[in-house]
Amino acid sequence: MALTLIFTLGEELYGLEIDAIQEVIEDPPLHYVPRAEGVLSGAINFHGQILAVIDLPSLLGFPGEERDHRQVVLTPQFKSLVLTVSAIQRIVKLDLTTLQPPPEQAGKSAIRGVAGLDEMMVNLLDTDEVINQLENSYAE
Amino acid sequence: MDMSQYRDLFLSETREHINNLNQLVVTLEQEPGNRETIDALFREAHSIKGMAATMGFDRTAELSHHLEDMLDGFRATGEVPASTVDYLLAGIDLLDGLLDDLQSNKPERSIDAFMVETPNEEPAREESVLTAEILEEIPAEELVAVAVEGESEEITPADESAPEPEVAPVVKVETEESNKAETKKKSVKEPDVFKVLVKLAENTPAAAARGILVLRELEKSGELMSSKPDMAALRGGAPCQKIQAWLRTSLAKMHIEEALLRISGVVKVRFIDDRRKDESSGRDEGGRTIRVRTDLLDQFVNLTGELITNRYMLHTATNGRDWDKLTQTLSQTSRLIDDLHHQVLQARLMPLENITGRLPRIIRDLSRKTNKEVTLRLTGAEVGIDRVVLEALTDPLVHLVRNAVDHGIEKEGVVTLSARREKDLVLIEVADDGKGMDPEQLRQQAVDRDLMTPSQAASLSDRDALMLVCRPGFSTTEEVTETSGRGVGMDVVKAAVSNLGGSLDIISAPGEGSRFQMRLPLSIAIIKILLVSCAGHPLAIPLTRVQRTLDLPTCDIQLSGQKRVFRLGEEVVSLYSLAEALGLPEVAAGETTWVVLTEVQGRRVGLQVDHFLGQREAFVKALGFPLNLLVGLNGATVEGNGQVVFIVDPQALLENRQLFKND
Repeated sequence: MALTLIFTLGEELYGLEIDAIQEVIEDPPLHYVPRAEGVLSGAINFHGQILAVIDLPSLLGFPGEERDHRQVVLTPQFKSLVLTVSAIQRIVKLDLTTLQPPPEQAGKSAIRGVAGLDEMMVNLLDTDEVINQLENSYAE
Repeated sequence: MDMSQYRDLFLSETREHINNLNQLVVTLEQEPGNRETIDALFREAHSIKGMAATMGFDRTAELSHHLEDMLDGFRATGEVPASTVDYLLAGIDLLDGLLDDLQSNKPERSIDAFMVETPNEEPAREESVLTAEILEEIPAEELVAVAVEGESEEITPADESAPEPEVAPVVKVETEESNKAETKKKSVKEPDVFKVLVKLAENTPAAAARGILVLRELEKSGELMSSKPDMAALRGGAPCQKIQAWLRTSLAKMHIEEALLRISGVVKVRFIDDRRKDESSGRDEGGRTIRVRTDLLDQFVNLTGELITNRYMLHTATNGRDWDKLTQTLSQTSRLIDDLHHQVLQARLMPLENITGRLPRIIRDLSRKTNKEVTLRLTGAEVGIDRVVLEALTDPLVHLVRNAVDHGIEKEGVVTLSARREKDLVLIEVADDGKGMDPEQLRQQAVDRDLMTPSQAASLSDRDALMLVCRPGFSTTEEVTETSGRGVGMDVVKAAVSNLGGSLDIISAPGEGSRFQMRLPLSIAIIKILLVSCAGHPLAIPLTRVQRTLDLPTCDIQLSGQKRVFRLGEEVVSLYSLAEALGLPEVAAGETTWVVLTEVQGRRVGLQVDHFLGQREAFVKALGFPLNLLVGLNGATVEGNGQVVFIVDPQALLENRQLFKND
């Protein structure tokens, strides 16, 4: 059983193991980044480090304007990216040993697998794929 | 006992010894009977052997022991035969390779081939050196045949005539033989791993088939590690407008790009360096060592001691509301901090000779290969430069020196590398006394390559014409030689210098040699910046990029060919808007337009900002992913109030906007 942060992107339910998370921060001052556009919404000063804030719903193509005021700071292993999501819900214990493969991936999804939580399905966020897509979007 | 903590120390010390070995052997080649040099060589090899044995690195120890034995023999005879110099150098390269293995936590490579060889087998060696050289020049498909021919006699005619050898074996042969090839010749490029993005034109017919062609081409260029979509998916007719592939190859990206673009339907090729590699180098950064004199450390201790005392004085003064005492102590504190700052920067400075050590060896190898007689002169190698700057300079410096030998010097000549302090900057110059460059010829070449129209070329000053060699893809040699003329080079040098906040100048004329001057900041951790505001956002411009600032009466700005210009003395200067370059809304200027005068591609331009907010020293914070991918951002700094201010490079911003395209 792994502790997992549950949040939504648009209407979908997502999960991220807390091992990948450095901190969840509340409303940090967002600073202007020259030439940042689209998914890069700005930068924050996180204990003296300048970190990029990525708008995950836009990166993965989710509709909807809703954004949580809290942000998720990933561990250095995942480039200490700061992710904005639609809404952060809670932390649960998920059984990740019986992950179902994600549905046929089309377009921009970043799902590592699907886990069951009570009656619902949680898509596990594929952090590597998020970084991969970011890289690609800057190469173009 | 756990030795791992000593590993980094071992690696950095042994690299120093190898550096010394290289220099000593080159010196020895000139004076074969110099006893002191032979003794010094022996001592270096002996030190490596001792350390490697203690660390339990058996092959490194065995090889250095072997070299030590040989050198001991020379100590007895008092002379190093010329025929053994190459053998010694090959041994040193092999040692270097072993260190590479240890550094990347790989098992030590085999040294058997080297150990069984003896320096007297001269003819056989010549042949294999030749093989290694050929290996570099020819495309991968032919590698197998040549490599096998050169290295063994067992090849059967049937093999030779085999049509198009399979791709996988090619790669394998290359890596298996690479130990040997590397031993002979260090310049065989180490394979790189990177991500390749290939975009096909929209609505390309038979996209999957073209995708397969792309993957085949990539397989030819190196080891195709994985791809998305992969071969199987493409065979199944998967849609593929974009292909993403991981490739391990030693070929230059440019060649791969060229080959891919030849496939019809391919419209765009992009390379992304392996971020996993970035991470590992980030780890290395933490483990890297620097030597600091103990008296400097003592000064740190003293200064911090005084600061601690000061803190108590501040407490006391605050508690007693003694404002005079408080003011006095604060000014003391700020003096102490300045002092500490200065000392810490001192600790980061390393002498230039740390990276010039390799040059004698490089010059020696090059002059042999090109049959030119080249002498290297070094002055100012003791000048101290920030470690980070120094490391970033290693490759550009080697490139400039190679260029000097390859393009500058004709039959014989002198390459001079000199360094000296100029105020806050270090000037490093690579000069040759060769044939020099002809601005006229460069202008012509720019026209021939469709980089500009004849009239544009004619209007370039000689200085700007010389800077043309820094344009990507602009190479002055028709033939591609092994060392230079591959079209990648000067642009990389210029980019490296710019990234460090420095500038590059070229001074040359036909028959008068060429001088490449790099002006670099002493430290990049703390730089002087000009703070400006632009559409309400504070931004920082490195002061090294600012020629001066102007308060220009707005009425003095005129239009010329729909471009804003203004007069500065005799000169007509183009005016660009920082807001526009950043894609920010323009704020209309009042009666005064605030202008930062800077230089882009060797020409003076004005950059309009909303306001000047002052100059200051700033501690530069490096940017992480993906901020480091944004063009024109050099770093960021944090203001006293916590505000994050990004440091922009006006040159990169303007070049990237291609505002100069139609000039």
